[in-house]
Amino acid sequence: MASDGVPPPLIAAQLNYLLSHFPLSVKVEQMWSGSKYYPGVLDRFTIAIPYCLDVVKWDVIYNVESPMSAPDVIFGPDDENFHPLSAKSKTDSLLDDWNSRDPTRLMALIQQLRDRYVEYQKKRVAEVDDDRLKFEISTIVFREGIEMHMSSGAEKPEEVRFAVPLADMNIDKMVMYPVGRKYGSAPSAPRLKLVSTSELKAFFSIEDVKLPSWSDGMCMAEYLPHLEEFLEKQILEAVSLIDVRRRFIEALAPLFGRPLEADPVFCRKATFLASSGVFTFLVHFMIPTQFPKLPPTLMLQSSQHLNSQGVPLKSLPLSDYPWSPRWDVSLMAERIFEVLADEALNFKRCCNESQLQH
Amino acid sequence: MADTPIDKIAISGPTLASLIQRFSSSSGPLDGLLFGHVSLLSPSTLSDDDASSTTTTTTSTSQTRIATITSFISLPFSSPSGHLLPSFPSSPSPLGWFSARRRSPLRPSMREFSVSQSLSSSPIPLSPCLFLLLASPIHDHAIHTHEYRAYQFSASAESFNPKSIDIVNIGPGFRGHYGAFSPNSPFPALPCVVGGSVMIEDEKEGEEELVERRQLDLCAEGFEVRRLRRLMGSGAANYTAELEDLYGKMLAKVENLARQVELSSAKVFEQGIGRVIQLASASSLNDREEFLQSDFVATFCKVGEDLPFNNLSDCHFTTPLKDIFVTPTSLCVIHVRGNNGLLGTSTLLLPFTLGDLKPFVTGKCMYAKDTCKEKMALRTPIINIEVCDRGLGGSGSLKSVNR
Repeated sequence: MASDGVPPPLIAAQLNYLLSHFPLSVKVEQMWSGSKYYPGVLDRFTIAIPYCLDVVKWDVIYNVESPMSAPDVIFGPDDENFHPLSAKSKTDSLLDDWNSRDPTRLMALIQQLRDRYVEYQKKRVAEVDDDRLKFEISTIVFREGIEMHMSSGAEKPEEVRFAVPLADMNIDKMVMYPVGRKYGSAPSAPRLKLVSTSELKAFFSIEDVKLPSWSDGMCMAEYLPHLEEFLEKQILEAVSLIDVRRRFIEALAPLFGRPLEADPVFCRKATFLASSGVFTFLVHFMIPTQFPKLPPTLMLQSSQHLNSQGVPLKSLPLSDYPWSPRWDVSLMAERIFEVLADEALNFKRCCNESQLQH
Repeated sequence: MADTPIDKIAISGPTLASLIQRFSSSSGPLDGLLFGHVSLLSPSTLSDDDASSTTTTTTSTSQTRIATITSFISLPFSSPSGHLLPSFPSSPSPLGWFSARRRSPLRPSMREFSVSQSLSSSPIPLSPCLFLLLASPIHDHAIHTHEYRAYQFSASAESFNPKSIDIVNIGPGFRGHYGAFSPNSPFPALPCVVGGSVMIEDEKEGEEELVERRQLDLCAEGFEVRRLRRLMGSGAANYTAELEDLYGKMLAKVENLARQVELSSAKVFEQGIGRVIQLASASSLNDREEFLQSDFVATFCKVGEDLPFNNLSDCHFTTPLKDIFVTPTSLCVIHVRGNNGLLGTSTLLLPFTLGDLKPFVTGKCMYAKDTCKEKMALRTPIINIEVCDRGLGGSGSLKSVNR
């Protein structure tokens, strides 16, 4: 519900700082005005803050009548026992000495509240009277950055969710897999879900990972190192595949010339300039993470034909051509070159025909 | 101190109505205290109504503890983190407090919990510590405009317990309230006098009675209680004039008190606007310099060419007053409004002269909650000034420098 209007400048500055500087991606769900006289000045908003692989939604209530004052926060209906101000805390002094001109204040507040929320959820989970759960927690509590979430509601079954960051030190800090694990009251195997960071998605598709099976009587402390080892192997393989892709792109160079553009980090994309007679065109190579098992997808783009909007004509993606993963990269390049020699003629004809129609 | 749970909260219709009226007429959110009493109601088995007289015989004898809210005062008394301000009145002890905020969820907020906690853990803990939350729906299309919920704060469990609210009305359903009515005036009880003759125990005037009598004499302004006895019986007529004189004096005292309150309110109000007027009339540079260096904070609205006076909606930037330069050619109206719960709202329109032309600044004087550290009544006002150039000569306006 983005009503017409803008937040007052002091509040806008704080909100923008929060959105751009918070370590996790915070989203504004809705914004509205609580003012009687200035309905166009938005002074309250709902923000969704990532927590435990889900989001928590908090309402931040400013007062446009006194834009210098600290905001108040209303937590979700499930968190009526979350009272971050109850102890003498840093947050109290942050609110009491509120400086509305400091754009970092709101972010500092949300950061502190989220830290308190992590503690609060941990405490709630610890209060659950379940021997199995208590045991599991005691075995994994040393891991850093664990987030827990206890969900209970009238309709929902009571369950505890853990988000366990799996850091793989070999491949820099970008590789993190939080694992979502749901723990029901029945002593069955937990539901597990892997979630990857966006950087990781560029060279490793998490959907293809087949999780090791959870055998009866297993606990998380047993399962996680196993899973980490397993994933580490897969990641290393994915990293080695980057190298295979790089060598493939290099093998294309003797036939097509230097690439116009190539993705130097993950080697997923490369573009070459080619010509067939006087017909000049670009070839886009989109290399899947499963390369060389799967062939690269090719797309041709004419340098001479434009559509009525002035956009260069492109061919349909092409991935259905003779291919064998066992070929050497130079042979792959040669075969693609041959395929393209034929495709270029087809594409040229298509371009000319569509041009005639105009 | 154990917090005795109450069974119900009752509020009279007019009190609730005036609370909602106070909320809907205020420009921003409100905080305030609730007053009243707690009473134990035994279900009445006597009734004039035919319909119920047949069924009342089986009523259980259990008593219900009811907190009745009879009045409220709207004033800020806590900091943004929910701590009580030093000015928090220690007496009379409130039943609880209320918070009214527009277009927000009907759930206690972070600060509201903290305030209730401070109240129940203060040196004189509130019991029962009630909390009445008033809000209006976030979305415009709701068919109702006001929502409220009442809670009792449990200090031991550190949580809010939702309580139902009874709106006390006239009728058989509320007879219990009137049956249990007891005046809560601090006026001490009169010593027992039977039929004009002093009771025999008069001689053994205990300590207790002495204290009571002294309190009573204080209330009566030298008109001894003993003399009141003469009002009973045949000789009463002679004393009527004397008693009327007493009433006259009491009235004068009340009037005097009211006058004092009025004067002090005016003084408080002047603190807010006096300095602005000083600026307005300052012809010498020194005065103006001094004013501009003062702690006043001005919130500026749009500097527009022909901005309407009543439009304050375009708050664009905020700047301390020392950053303002008043040019002699400015055309301004100073329009200061004290927005103080105790004072109500008042408006002052002040044209003033600088140089040849008449400058006008229009603005609002708001008492900022966050700067309120020491005294409730003497808060640093925020002056919200709207500047406009009425185009007289077209040259210059009140300029502001946003650093």
